Amino acid sequence: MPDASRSVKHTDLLRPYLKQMQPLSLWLGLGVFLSLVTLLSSIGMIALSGWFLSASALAGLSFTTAAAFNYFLPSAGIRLFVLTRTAGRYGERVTSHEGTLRLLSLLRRHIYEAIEPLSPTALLRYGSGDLLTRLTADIDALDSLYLRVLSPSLVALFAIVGCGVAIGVFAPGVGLFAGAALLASGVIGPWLAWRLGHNHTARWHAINGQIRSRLIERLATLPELLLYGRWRHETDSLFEAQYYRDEEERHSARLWGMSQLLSQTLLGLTLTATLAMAAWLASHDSLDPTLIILMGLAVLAAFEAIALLPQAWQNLGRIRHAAQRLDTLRSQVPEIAYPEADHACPADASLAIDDVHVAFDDGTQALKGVTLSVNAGEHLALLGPSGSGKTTLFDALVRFVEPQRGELRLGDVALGNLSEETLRDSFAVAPQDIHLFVASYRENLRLAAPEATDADMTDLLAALGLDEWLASQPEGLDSYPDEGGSSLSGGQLRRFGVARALLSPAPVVLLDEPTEGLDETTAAQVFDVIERRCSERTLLLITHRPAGLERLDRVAVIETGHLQEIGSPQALLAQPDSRFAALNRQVAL
Amino acid sequence: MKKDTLTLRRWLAARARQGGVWPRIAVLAGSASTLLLFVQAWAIATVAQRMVIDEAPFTSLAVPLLVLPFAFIGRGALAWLKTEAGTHGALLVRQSIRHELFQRIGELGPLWARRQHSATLGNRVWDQVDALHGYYADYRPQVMLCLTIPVLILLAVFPLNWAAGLILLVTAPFIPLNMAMVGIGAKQCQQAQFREMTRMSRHFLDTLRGLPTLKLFGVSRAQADVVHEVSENFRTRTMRVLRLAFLSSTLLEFFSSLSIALLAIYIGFVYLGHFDFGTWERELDLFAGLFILVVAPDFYQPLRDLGSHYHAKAEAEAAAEDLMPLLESSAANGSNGSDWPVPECLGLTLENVTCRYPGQQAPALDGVSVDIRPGDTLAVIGPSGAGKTTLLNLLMGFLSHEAGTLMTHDGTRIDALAPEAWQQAIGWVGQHPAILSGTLADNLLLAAPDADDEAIWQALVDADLADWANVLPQGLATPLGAGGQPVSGGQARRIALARVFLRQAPLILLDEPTASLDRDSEARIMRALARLKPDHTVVMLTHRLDLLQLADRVLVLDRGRVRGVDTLDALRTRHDLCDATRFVEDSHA
Repeated sequence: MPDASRSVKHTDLLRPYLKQMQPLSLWLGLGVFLSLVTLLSSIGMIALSGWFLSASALAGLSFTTAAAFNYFLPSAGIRLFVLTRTAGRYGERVTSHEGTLRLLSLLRRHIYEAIEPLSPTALLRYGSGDLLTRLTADIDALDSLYLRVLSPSLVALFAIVGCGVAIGVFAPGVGLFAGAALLASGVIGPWLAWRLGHNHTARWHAINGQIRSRLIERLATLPELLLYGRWRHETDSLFEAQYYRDEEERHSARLWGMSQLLSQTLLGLTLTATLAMAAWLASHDSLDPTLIILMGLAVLAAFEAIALLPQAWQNLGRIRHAAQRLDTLRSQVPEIAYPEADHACPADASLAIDDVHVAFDDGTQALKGVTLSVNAGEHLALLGPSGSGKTTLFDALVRFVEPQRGELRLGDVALGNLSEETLRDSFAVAPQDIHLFVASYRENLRLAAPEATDADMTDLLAALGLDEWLASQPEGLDSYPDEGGSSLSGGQLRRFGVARALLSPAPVVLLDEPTEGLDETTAAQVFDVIERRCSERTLLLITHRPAGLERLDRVAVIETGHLQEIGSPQALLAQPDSRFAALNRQVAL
Repeated sequence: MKKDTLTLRRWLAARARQGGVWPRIAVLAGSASTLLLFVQAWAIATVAQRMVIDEAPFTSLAVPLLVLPFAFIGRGALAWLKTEAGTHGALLVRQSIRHELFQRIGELGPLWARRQHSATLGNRVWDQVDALHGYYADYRPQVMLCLTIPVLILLAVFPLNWAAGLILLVTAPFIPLNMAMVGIGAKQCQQAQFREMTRMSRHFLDTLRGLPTLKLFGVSRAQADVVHEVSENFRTRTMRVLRLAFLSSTLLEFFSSLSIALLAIYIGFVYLGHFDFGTWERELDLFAGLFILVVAPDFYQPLRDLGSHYHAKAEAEAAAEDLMPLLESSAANGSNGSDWPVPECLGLTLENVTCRYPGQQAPALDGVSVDIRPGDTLAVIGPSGAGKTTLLNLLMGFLSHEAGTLMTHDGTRIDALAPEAWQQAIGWVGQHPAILSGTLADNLLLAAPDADDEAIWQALVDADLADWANVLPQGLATPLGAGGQPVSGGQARRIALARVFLRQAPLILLDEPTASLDRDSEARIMRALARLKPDHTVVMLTHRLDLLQLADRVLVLDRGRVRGVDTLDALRTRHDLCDATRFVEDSHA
């Protein structure tokens, strides 16, 4: 049966998250208990009130029965329920939120630990830029598994049972019927809506994802679209697509509405049947007639619990999607494994790149057999157009991608034989996209060199021409960058990244386009600093600009995944048909 | 920057009009549901009255027991109507806001859009608009229901018993006051939660985005503890706020329980003869008492529902804060210009043209005069910041000049034309040409929607793409872009060139057409440009000497001013340019 297999998979998918709840079972259990107390109090209060009215009205018919009527007990009961309901509600809110937030902390840690070993390059290539945003939203969704699904379901179940038992004490048959019928009316409607609505939600998500990425792509190409007069056309077609998406939303709303109708119908039938059965029993003298209203109102009040269920079912779908996405992510992005300890110790800071091939999932061949060796202490530039494979070579050196073929060695030891700690200690890297954390600039720099003093940092920043920028920061190194580092211009961010890499004492320095977006004078200044700080170290520098490379030991030109030529810059310039010489033939300004 | 909540609320309210009659239908359905509640209460109370007091036979219950399920069915149907109407209304509002956003982005143009991150902008247009849904679909109708439902209930209860009505009124301490109280409480609570959740998500997102950096510096594993710790700190802070904020929602719970308890005890005591006020000098029977008891919980229900929709409001206000500036910003659109027939050959004269970017003091172009002759190729050189890109933006119609004149050789002033009309005369090859997800044909037709296959193939031949297109699996119908055939940087540039060939516009603008390409792509582009040159007026930004040799004349710009316009050979001999320009000689030419 396809259904059964799906539901098995369903629990499998959520099992790790359910397991996460174990250490918090006290908090979470208390939350459910208090929630149940609240609900049972409100059922008890209204049912007891109904009975109290019936009984006192009956007693009030004659003066003697009225005088003998014990109103202390029921009225004390009603007052007690007021208190337990109020206190229960408050306690339930506090404990369940406390538990949920504790759970969230564990969950985040768990998911972080699961993602941390994955190849960062593959992670970023998998799905586009908003993958991480979606991932964060998914964690928030998973977090609601307890608060929005588990807790209301358990409470509803217990409340229905409690209601059935309370009625059953007086009339077992009616109690059994009421419990079973309540359960049915709470489950059938939402379940049907979920079954039928499943496709709509899935289609909605599919269409929404398509439009969203299409929109972002179109916004990125706005100049062409406007220039060629196609923006209107594009927005019209986005609107048309949106219409189909909204149609799915309308369908979902219709189903949700229909499920409310179904639930209400079933509740109406349950209540009517309960009242009829109780009244029939009463008219045959097998039930105290004052209990009729108690039973009716208990059923009505228990519906409050059932009303929580549809939402829970809907949330379950969302949570399952989130869990599924995290699962797919983990199964599709390769994990990069490191040995616990070094198998050998690198002899020096030389690098050997031996016939390295790297291909990506979409079929692009980034590196097609690159062989290159760099001596310890040598300064080498990798020159080539964007997309030529230079950055992939860096990624292979720091093991962000694994080559399909070939080997990389540091000081004659294959990178795969080094522990992650040794590998990280060996390379100081300034990647192309410099990420600034939402932390002080000092903390951002200390990532690379925990012992660096303020003087080290400010000196280096000043040498890189960032002194004016630093002086303009309200609290100097203690200032915080905006999110995404937008408080620094592109060129400043680049230099900040270079500073971070140069602070690190690692013997091999890898810099990806350190002078991008800088004018000639500043670029020369940055080159000076790089040269000075790397005098004893091996330096690999990626650039697509040929200017200023004469001062390096060698230049390697890489195009379309191949090493085209390599040699000292002077020697290459002397060969008129070399690529390096051709790239240098331009107006210098 | 931060808008005060009043402005936000006004903005949100003003937008609600786009929802048409639907929100009103939702409110009507919700209110009508209360009338059916009275029918339910009548039926339930009648059953009790007949069985307990009148001791009527079971058959006398036929009418109430038959009516009861239909009342439930009716309420279910109204709930359905309310859901659908709310969704319809919210969809209309969202669609209209999105439509306006698209228009506004078109008006603000690419220079503005380039300053925004396309993913951020996409998030605004897409996700933030969707975030308004709950506010329009649920929250706003619910606010109205918080007034109508209690009023209807009071209208039903007062004629039966004024004391009971008074209990409702007094324990409610006036609905508006209570609403404000719930509002403040729920607001504090939701806002605190919303804010903390957002902050926590942001921190997590920041960590994930920075994961490669953390790895590069060897601290990624230790970060798991930081993730947990930060999350726990957030928990402590959030709970401190929530513990207080939950008090106010507990208060509502307390008042609603208290009023029901008071009602029950009051009515019971009237029956027992302890109280004799509030009954309008009539006998209060069991029917009336139970009727009041059954409708009483619904007196508070709309307020409790409102609390659960409060997050929708917080979300909408956050979204409005993001959207308002975009929709408010005054777009400088003088798009009321005239149309013109695009000439076959175009010459342009700039006289004393000055341009300035908004918010900048120094002009980007400062009194530029140059004659762009029909059929000529003009190369533009100059250091970065010289105004080359500004000149291109001006010619593309993305930027207007603040002084001077810009007119065609036949005397048409460019600023008198509608930008769309002027742009019909332009073909453009930028540094990062747009590749839209769509077929190869779609990508080319972008520039000339009416071109036939023959013309497309001719353009592909002209742009040196025919051999590539010939081996594509589906020829012109091959999908490109995300998920489709990968397109290299050189191919993208040639696709943009093919667009230009297809468009047959008289003025061609090129921005560094060979920058960061490999040798083969570069050679192909040079050949294509040589084919393009004879029939068009070309303006080209470049640094490369091989490209300068294609130009008839070279314009040297420096800090927004013209340093010289002459042939390449003549410029080489100009001594006054030696300080600004240095030509690296082609050593083997």
